[in-house]
Amino acid sequence: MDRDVSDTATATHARGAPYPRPAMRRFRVYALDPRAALTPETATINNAIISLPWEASYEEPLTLGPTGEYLEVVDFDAPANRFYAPLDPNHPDLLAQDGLPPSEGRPQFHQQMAYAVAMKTIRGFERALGRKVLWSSHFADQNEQFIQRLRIYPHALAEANAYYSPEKTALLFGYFRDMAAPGKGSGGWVFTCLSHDIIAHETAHAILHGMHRRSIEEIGPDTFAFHEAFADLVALLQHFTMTEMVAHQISATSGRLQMDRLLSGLAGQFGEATRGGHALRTGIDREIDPATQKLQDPDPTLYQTVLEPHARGAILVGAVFDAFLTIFERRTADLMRIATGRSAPTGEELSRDLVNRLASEAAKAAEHVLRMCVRGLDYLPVTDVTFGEYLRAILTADRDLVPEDPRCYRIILTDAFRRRGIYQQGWLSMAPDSLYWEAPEAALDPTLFADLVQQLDLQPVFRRAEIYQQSRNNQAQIHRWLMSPDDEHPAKIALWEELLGIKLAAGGLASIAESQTYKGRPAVEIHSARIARRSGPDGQEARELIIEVTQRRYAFDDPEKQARADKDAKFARKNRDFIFRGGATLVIDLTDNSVRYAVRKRIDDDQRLDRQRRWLSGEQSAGLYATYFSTQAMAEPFAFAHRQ
Amino acid sequence: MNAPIRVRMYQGLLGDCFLITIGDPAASRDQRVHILIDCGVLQQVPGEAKRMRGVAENLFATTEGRLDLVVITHEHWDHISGFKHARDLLIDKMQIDTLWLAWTERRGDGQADPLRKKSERAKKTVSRAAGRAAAAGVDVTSSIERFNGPLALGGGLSSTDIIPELIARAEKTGTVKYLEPGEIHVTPGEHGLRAYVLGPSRNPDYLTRSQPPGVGKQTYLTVDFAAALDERYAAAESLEEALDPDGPSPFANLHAIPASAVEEGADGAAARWLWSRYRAPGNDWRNIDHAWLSAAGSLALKLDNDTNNTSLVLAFEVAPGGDVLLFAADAQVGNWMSWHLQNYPAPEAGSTVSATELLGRTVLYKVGHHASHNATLDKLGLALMTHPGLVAMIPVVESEARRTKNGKAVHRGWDMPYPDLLARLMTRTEGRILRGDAEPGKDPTGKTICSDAGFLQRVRSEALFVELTI
Repeated sequence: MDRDVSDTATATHARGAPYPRPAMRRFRVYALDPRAALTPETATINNAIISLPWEASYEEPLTLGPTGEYLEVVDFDAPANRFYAPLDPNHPDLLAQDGLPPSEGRPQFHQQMAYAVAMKTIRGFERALGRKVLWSSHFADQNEQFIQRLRIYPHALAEANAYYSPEKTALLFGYFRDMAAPGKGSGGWVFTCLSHDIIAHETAHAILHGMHRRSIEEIGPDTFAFHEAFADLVALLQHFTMTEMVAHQISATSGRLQMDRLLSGLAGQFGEATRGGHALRTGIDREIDPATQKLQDPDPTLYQTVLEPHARGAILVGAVFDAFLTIFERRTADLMRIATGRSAPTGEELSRDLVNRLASEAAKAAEHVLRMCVRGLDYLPVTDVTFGEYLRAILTADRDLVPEDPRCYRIILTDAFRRRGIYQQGWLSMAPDSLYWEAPEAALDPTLFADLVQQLDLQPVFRRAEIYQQSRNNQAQIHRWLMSPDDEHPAKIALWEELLGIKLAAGGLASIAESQTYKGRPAVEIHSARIARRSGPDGQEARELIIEVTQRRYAFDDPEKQARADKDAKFARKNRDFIFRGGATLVIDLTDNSVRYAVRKRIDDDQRLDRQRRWLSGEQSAGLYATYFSTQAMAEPFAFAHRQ
Repeated sequence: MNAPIRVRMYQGLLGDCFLITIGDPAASRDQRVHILIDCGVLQQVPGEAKRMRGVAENLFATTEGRLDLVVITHEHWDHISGFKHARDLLIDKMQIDTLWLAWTERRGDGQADPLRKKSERAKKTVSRAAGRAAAAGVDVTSSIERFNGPLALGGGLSSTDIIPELIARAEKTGTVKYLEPGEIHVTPGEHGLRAYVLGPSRNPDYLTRSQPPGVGKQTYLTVDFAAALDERYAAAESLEEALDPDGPSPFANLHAIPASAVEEGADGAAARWLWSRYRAPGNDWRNIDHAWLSAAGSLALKLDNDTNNTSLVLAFEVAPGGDVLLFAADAQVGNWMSWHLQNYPAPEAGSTVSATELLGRTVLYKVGHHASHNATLDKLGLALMTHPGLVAMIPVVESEARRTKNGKAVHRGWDMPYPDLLARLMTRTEGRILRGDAEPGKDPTGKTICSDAGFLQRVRSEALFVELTI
């Protein structure tokens, strides 16, 4: 670091009018991981460039680390007890050659790749979400603190593991020597921070946790599995944004993406070192029938029997990835007909132009599916998410933005879930129409929320710290508004309780935690108040306010104790075994201030409580770590999930 | 004419200690045979030493200082710590005519030696990592210290030393045998029982499987279990290298800035920057100095399960082709599955016996691993134990296994007996369950669970033990 980019600014007077600012920052990365650079078939396509928008005026400038608006890379190698100097992304030598060239032996390249891939993941999310990504707050001495940046430690662990630490708001990456399988292992080093998939996966965990603070509580078979599946999906679908590699694989498989194992596999090098030569996980959960060359049907019983979070998550990943493949095939059927006279590829070599067109269609399809998946996150219930509810959230969010479904994406997705046995009791049918969230009962005055929206600060702000503060202020405002209604009439309160799935009046369930401010009444938390602006493919615009209202109830392993606690607040508070949550996600349409949906999980739902009780008691849990390391696993849930 | 057989389970231990007596207990010493199967109590059980001492004294008196046969199933503390707590009585003074161990304990065995060596080395590494974390004030071992496990104990005979000491003693006063799966041995004495050796398997795939099968098999590419063991030791090696200041490093030194050079006002912009981001006040909560050491926890647990899976499992036949006493030690899934891989050459000419048949003839099942969730197989195990008179012995102290201190479990993960399994055992045995923490025919709360008068007549209990006549 002999010179800093600012040094060159001394020449400003000599250049007349200011130079235009570059639109993009470009960073070289491995498209997949270093292993793919060693294999002749993939070496030519394994160097990729990630282009990130240059920092906007309201964003923090990118400096040493790299440290930017969202991320800070701090390279402390804890096992070796030493540091590595931070990358200077503004150095002219690096600006002129798109950052450091790929190199396993230079820690600064590791910093660069971890930064670039994580940033790319963040930007992808923001496009789909229609708002800025915020990290989960830090709690110190009862105070909630805004965390500007997620920290990345590229060399934190000496093991085959990487995880998101909710406690530290940090990603910890491990490195290890590939010694596992004699003959196969090279004895070389494997760095998890050089795996595109692992970086994207962990970043997705952090983003999801930032959106849903309670999503890291393992309270049912689907909660952790959902977290894992979602992170895998983000990593997997990102493969298809690297069109050069996609084109290569399409060419290699003559357009049959379902036969490809490179793009559908996750963490190839890591898997090879730790799993005896296979990708760590794969998006395709179906075998190819050797006779017909078609994919066989998935096993619909797995959802009932598989509980380990990654394996269970793979069912959801399989469903979404399957939908992606179907969408890709349908989108490209016309191209195939024009070029080859057939709707589906036959295995014959494809022309270069067709390959490139197919690759760009794959990128579009992947982007579309990823957007659908990300948008669905805003429509999730506040706690205890199941795969089926996620499907409903995706479908509803998509319908709101794209009312018609001319390409049948929603039907394709629903079908992929159905064939994997992901459905829930009480569903009318597996038609998308009957799976959309329903508008709330009309008993409450629809204009009620107009009054609330008036009191909120809905001005667009751009700095993330200000967005955070605005959201906090709005949360407080909503809380006040909710706790001090104009109309204290019991019938009215009951309607509110019905809408939100929680208790508002005193004298309900004594096991619900009591408010500190409004003594004697049940405590209510406003978890978030987010403003989302989204635009659909045909320019449709949606502006929504999403409010999460939650409540805590002290819960007991023993149903008899529960019955007592439901009447005796002191007993409940002192002796509780676990926390049971309820509440609602409210989606308010800001164009007319009406409540579109109230996605509820009732606090007084004793059946759900019983399910959670049975899950926590280990009756269903198969994870060793869930029982052996209960306390540690609470603090670092992903550290243990990934060590399994 | 068969001699009477009694199986005594020492109680209140949360550990295994069984004494089989063949012959009339009142007869003179040379008219009866005593077989000891394991002798241990878990760490951190209050008064463990005193309780164990009492057991050892009782053992010594009952056997008059001579054991015809000692069977050690595996090296875990809760199976062998008695030999430490009462070393004078059980090792120094005890005459051991025969000692049976699994092939995994044989020194000089081509398969056992590397396994044992690697495992001991891995355990040392885990223990070092734990120690280093503890020195830094980080409690990464809080959950594993109390575990059976690999962590060495301060002073005295540590768990890894006990077995060599026993071997030395037995070689001096008698003979040592290492048992192979599929073999049949006969216990000492005139009325020797046939002992079928069911496990541990020599097939590496079955040595390491501790989880119920079928989980995630369809969606994850099949995991090779032998590779899983290699991976375990590779992980330990990684950790070992990292613990070694001179160990290999992936980066050339020119890239490194020693931690000691990163301080306030250090020379060099990079070191100052790093200090401001990492060491400067207010950063503590995000620091990762010790996060890597907690890898020791999960590794310790896996190594522990591996050891359980190397348990020596014996099926004693009361009479040729007759009732079977099944001692499953702490065998986990892989071990159970391997029993069915081989047939057992019955001494009757030309016939073989299958594991299924042995399970079908089982009248006494020593429940695996204190009735934990993963140490009794269902379809290939309990479901095959169809004898109408089946009795189960569970060496468990539930109140101790589930004891909490300041709201935290003392023996974390000791969810024993596992409720589902207990319920199935209750059905299978019609309540004929003898536990380490209950009177015969009752559960620990004193509730009657069995009214089979014929069974209760065969049971006798004293302060230290409960005893069943077969």
